[in-house]
Amino acid sequence: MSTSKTQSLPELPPDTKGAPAAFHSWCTDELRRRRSRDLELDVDRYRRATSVVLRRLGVTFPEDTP
Amino acid sequence: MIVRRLQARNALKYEHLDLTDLPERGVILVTGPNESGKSTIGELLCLALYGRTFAVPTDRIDRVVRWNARTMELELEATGPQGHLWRIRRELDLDGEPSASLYCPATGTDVTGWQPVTDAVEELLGYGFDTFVESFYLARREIGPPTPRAETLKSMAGVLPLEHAADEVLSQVPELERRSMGLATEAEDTQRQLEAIARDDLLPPRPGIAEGELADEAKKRITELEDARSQITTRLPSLRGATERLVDLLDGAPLARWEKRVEGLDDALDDVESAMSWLGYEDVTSGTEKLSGFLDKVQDGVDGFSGLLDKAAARRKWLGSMLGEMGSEPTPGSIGDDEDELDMRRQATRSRMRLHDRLAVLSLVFAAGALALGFLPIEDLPEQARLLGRAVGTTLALSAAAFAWSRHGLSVELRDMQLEDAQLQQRRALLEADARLLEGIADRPMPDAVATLRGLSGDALSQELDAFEAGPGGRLTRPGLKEKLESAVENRMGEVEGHLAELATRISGDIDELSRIHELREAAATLAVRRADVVEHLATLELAGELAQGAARHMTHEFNNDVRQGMVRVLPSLTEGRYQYLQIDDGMSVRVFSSEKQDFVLFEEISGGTQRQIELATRIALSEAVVRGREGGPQFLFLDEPFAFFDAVRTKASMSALPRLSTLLPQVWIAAQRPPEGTTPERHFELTLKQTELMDTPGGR
Repeated sequence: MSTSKTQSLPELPPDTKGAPAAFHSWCTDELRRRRSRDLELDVDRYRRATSVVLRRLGVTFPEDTP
Repeated sequence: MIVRRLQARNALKYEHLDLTDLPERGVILVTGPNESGKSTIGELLCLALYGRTFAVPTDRIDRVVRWNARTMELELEATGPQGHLWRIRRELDLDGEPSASLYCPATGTDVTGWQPVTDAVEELLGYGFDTFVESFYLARREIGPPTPRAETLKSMAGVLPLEHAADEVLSQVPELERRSMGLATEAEDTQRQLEAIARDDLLPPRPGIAEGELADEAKKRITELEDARSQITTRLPSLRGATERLVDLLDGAPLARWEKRVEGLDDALDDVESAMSWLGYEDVTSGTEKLSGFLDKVQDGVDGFSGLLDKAAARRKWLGSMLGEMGSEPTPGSIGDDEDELDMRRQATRSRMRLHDRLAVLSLVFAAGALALGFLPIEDLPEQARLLGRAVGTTLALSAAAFAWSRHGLSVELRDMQLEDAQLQQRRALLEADARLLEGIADRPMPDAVATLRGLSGDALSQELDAFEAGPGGRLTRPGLKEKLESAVENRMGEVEGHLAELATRISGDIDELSRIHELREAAATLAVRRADVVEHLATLELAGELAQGAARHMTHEFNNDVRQGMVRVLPSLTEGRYQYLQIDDGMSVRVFSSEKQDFVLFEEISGGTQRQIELATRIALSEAVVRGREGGPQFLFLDEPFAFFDAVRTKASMSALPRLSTLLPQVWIAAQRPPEGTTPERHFELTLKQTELMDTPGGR
């Protein structure tokens, strides 16, 4: 079953390793767990929260580049 | 990363160092007395990878240059991830800037610069200097008791960045909570101000409407009032013009102009009244009522005049019919019909007269003949014939007399017809005169038209005229009407203008109040949006912190699992199977499972040498877990004096066990004062106290 873009996490830049990659992986699993428990989970907020941490870990997303 | 070659010139103790063709697996033993340069090799590996050493502070990195030299050169060749060969070169010139390069022929990676190379190595291996020295460069200082050192273990588990991220994110929460409360207070204050100046008459309460819509509603109401005021101001001159134009007609004007100007004033009044209605003031009249009343009376008069002219038009049509005008519909009893009938009767009478004349003459002729036969002495005429002649002659003579009398009667009829014809002509003349009067009656001014209609023959339309003059229309035909009404109408118009001027003042006041309400509602809406943003941001940050902490806990758990599994394999190997695994309870008490006792024993109850073995096993298990959690591939291990408290048996056992403990840690460097007895390392470098050069040839021991 495909997952729509709004229900998945922001994609990491290629070759991202270390803590950001581990965090992203865990968050993806955690999102699946939370969605199974809470059908009304605010996925957008979850995505934003994930992005906040990833940016703190030094990840730069395409939209961050002027 | 597995070291393949290490070269150095004027680095720390060494004037020249060249260790080549190093084995990828097994023990590389470095022995020698104190200060012979064993640890220096570990420091140089550290310097090559991270641009710094454990012993030399980063702000005095120039100390890595040998005491009597100006330039240090260092080159490391190592096998990295995916088995690619990497070459790291660093140069430090006391008279210039430090330089470094990192190159991988397989991937084409080429990085230059002291710090960029360090950053690239960190990214390549997945850990930085601190984790490196805690995991793979273990001197006796690091091989301490396995009491968890939180920061160190977290660094090794790779969770520190996540914890720092969580701390940073959550540190913003109190400030956001303060901002949220501040915005709530501001919103309450704004609401109080709004309640104080609420205007239900202008903006009826609408519960449940969003703040933003309320602001729009106030703005819309302001626009309505401004539009209405503008329209009233614009339309007032039109009303005055229409009023004056209507008053001008009071001198007299034809119906069409009356109707047009009445309609014009009516439209102008409608315009002003509709603009007034836009105001939505339930307690305010338009002020045009009296002017409307005047217009109604004029309208009634004009309607009456219109009705009168309709009657006149009907009369004109009737006259046309009566006169038999071209195009008119024939009507029974018309003048034409009467004339035709009279003419026919006259023709008939004349015809009968001519017939009677002929019959009389003919009767006379035959009567004369018959009488001559009866009375003249004609021979042989029988008496009976004579008598018959007399009788016939007499009868015919009497018939002739009768015809003559009848003809006289017809002559009298003909004279009556002449009289009748004269009466018809007189009647036609009257009707034609009326028809001429009614020609163009609709285009005549009202008083002229009324006077003209009065001139119709036979008091035609007199009742309608009386009714008109007695009704509203009569007022419009009175002489001097304009002078009488001009000032009165002007007064009405003045009242309207005065009323609307007062209204404009009220509108201005209301607009000011609405503007204030609009500002406050807009402020309330802005505050609501800002607060919603802050609350959302707060929730996002709290969730972000929760996720970072959750991920850190998960990674710690995974790391601990790795360490535990590593310990299960490493501990028995290093303790010759005497101890199986280690357990740290919630009170941080360390217990070890003894194969001999088949039970846990406290760490403190074990002999010092065994404790060191367990410590070393723990460290190696930790190091292995670090390698497993990263993507840097197999890693060398540098152990400085790991067997200081070991007896010969334990040392020998550990030496043989170390290279086989983990495929992730295949290359083990061991620095020791003397070579352990009975061991055979893959490579052995023996150093002396004053040795400044270490040149190793391939295959050398």
